[in-house]
Amino acid sequence: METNYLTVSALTSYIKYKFDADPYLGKVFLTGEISNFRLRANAHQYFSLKDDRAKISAIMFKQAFQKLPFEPKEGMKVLVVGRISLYEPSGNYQIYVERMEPDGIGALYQALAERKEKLQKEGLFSGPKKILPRYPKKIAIVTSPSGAVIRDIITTVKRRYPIVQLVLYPTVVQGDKSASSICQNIQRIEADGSYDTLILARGGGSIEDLWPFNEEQVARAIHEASVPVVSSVGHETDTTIADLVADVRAATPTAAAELAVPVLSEELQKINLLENRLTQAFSYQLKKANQQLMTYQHSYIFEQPQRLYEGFLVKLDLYNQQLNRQFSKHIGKNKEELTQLDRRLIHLNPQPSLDRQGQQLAYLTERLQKSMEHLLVYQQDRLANEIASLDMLSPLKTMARGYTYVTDDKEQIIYSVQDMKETDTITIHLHDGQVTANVLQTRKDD
Amino acid sequence: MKQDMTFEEAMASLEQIVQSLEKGDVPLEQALTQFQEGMKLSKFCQDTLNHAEKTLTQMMTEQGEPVIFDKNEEIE
Repeated sequence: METNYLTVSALTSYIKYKFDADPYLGKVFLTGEISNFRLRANAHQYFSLKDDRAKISAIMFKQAFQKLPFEPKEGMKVLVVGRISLYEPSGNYQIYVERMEPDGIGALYQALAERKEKLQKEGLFSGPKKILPRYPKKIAIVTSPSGAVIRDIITTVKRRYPIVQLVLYPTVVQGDKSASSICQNIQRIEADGSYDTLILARGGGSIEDLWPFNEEQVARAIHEASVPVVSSVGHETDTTIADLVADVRAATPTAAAELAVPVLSEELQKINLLENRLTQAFSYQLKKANQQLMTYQHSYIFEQPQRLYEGFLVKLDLYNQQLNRQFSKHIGKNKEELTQLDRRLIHLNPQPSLDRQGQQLAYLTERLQKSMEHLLVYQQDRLANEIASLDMLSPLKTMARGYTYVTDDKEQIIYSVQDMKETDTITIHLHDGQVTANVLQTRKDD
Repeated sequence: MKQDMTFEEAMASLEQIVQSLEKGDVPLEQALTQFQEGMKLSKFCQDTLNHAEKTLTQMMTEQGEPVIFDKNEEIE
């Protein structure tokens, strides 16, 4: 009978099939101690699990490893769930770990979960988060004075923003005294009052290592702090209560420093940019205003100011012409009227009439004089005649014939006997003088 | 510019002025005032950053005394 030789591949394939098909090896619950663990960043993890007498290779894929809520460490006791399979190129069988949790500290996780829930209900995680000042002057750092954490923070801050004052509060970050040390330092920082920002930091570690940062008193100290708190505790996957209460959470101490300070050169650049924008915006406005001014200056009003009153000049001319026309027309009409009136006036000249009247007057005057002379002569003659007649009739002539007249003492002529009485003084007028006499007796004729 | 302006206030003020000027609806006289104010603020901010001394990290002792913290000594 001929012997059949298998290839290594075929054999290995068969063995692998045996592993994969086995109902027990498809899902294994295993407890053991981590060995040969060396963290590979962002990659699949290779290590071993062992106990006193045996050892098995283990692999944990990146996706599964990233979900781990803790950092596996050399010597750590763990509970894992996985399947057993064979890696053909090396011929090694190994456990493909799907889930892993620290053995014996499940209680801690339980406690943590309960405490998170309690504080969450109290509103410690959701309270208004304070905003980090953009340009802090003084930053307090609560962490251990030794180790990479403080070094990373100092290096990062010095690189980015060397003008900020960093003050380290040396803090116990592990063990029994840690929680009170953290609280004490936060309170000292609060009491000092001169800080803009507080960085609370610790490197990675097991859940036990990070436990102080899950303590309620630490959570309350952070919550009550008036200074904004940036936290970076453990690895990004370990979310401690301190991280939840803090105003800002950073993945690493370096990230915390980056969140806490700006980059000085960038800020200077920003100011320069603002200054440039300022200058540009202003010169643009100035240019715009200048253009506007130019437009105004080039307006015909300034370039050819005469155009401003050209229209008026034309109008003025027109009005002048109209005025002249109207005026001449008016004058012409009046002149004509005047001529007519003149003509009529000449017709009505009274001189010839005057002359005629003058002649008439002279003639009449002459006649008047002559008539007057005649009249005078005639009247003189008449007067003489009359005087002669009158003389003939004069009472003196009558008196000369013996007639008298009598007046009383008041020179009044007495006409009747009744007007006299005895003893009256009377004057008797004769043609050649007067006689004053007293009445002796009156006798009225019947 | 106010006497006791903080750096943050100065920066905020500067940004506001730049935005206002960029909008371009500010009367020219006011724009000039703002421009001068902006230049003052810019100088103040630059001076603040440029003239601030580089500081050494301090460590607060138990007694509340700040001492210089030499990280190289502590580490290693």
